[in-house]
Amino acid sequence: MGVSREPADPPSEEAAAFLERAIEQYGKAVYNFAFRLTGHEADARDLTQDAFIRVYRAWRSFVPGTSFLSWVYRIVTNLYRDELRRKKGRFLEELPEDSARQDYGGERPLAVDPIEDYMAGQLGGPMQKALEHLSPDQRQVIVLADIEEYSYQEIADIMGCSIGTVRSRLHRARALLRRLVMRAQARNEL
Amino acid sequence: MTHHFTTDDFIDYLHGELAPAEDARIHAHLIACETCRAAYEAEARLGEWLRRAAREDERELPALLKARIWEAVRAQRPSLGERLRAVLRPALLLPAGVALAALVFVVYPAAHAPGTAPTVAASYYLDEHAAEGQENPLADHPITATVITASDTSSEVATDGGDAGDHAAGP
Repeated sequence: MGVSREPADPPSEEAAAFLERAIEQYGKAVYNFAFRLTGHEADARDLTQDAFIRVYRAWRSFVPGTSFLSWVYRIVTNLYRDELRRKKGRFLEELPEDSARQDYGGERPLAVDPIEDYMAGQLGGPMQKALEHLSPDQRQVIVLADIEEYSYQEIADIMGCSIGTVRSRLHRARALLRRLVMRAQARNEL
Repeated sequence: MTHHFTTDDFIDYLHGELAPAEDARIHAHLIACETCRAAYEAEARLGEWLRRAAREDERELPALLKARIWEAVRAQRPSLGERLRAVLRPALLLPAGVALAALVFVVYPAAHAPGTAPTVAASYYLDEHAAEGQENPLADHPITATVITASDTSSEVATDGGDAGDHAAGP
């Protein structure tokens, strides 16, 4: 068929220009997103590289006028999920859904600023450490909702799930983070 | 009795994900209820901490990563779509179309020209007829006798018997 790639064909002009601009404008954001998901620099580099290769190959499917970052985050999310599946054989990252609401009523003891005390001296690394205690799905939803500040609908689009699932994952992830922070504050570690 | 809200409600409220009426209800409640306000503020601080920590821990794109991406892209095999596009690009498509049209003009009329239909030689029918006659001795096929006579086997004809054999052996 005449598609021998020795040496490899140069990238098409349009695709190359698209990729160049994508890396230039969003490379750092994608890398940071990948780092928050994986928690490891080497994994984040691999994930970022794979994501931009996918961007290069699928650039025609990007719809102009829509958010490029949402599109590429969806790619990263899918690649990360595939990688987890590959590593573990199956994907059982999410804890069973629990619809029980966390009612506490008037008798609930007040949470007396454990987060404020904790965060005063715990930045950067400890947050990443805290995220590692979450399941991959919970981590993604925390990163997207609280760090990237996407709406539930946007997160649902990126993660390929329903808004209800986003909501319950976020509630659960935050409850877990809250407990982690309180426990860490009690032991002065995380 | 005062209705308190849950942390889940505050999480949705913080993210602006409640319906306007519910949002307004929580807003009004937080002004009046110290208990809920404390819970809400704890959730708000958790979000602030996450964002601040993320900013503090923001990383630059590793210098070599961009080069690695380009290297990987150049080593990529083209996708099926790319290969099809390469094959179907106008420079190839036009000559291919002309060749196909020429083929249609030349081959089609030749194949459908009158008198060129496949034919069977007349001798085939004669031989077939003779063979059938041999297989069925009861058949009334004079031509069988003719064929046998030509091969000069009069004794066999006599053995086969019948008028045909006599007739053939005659003059």
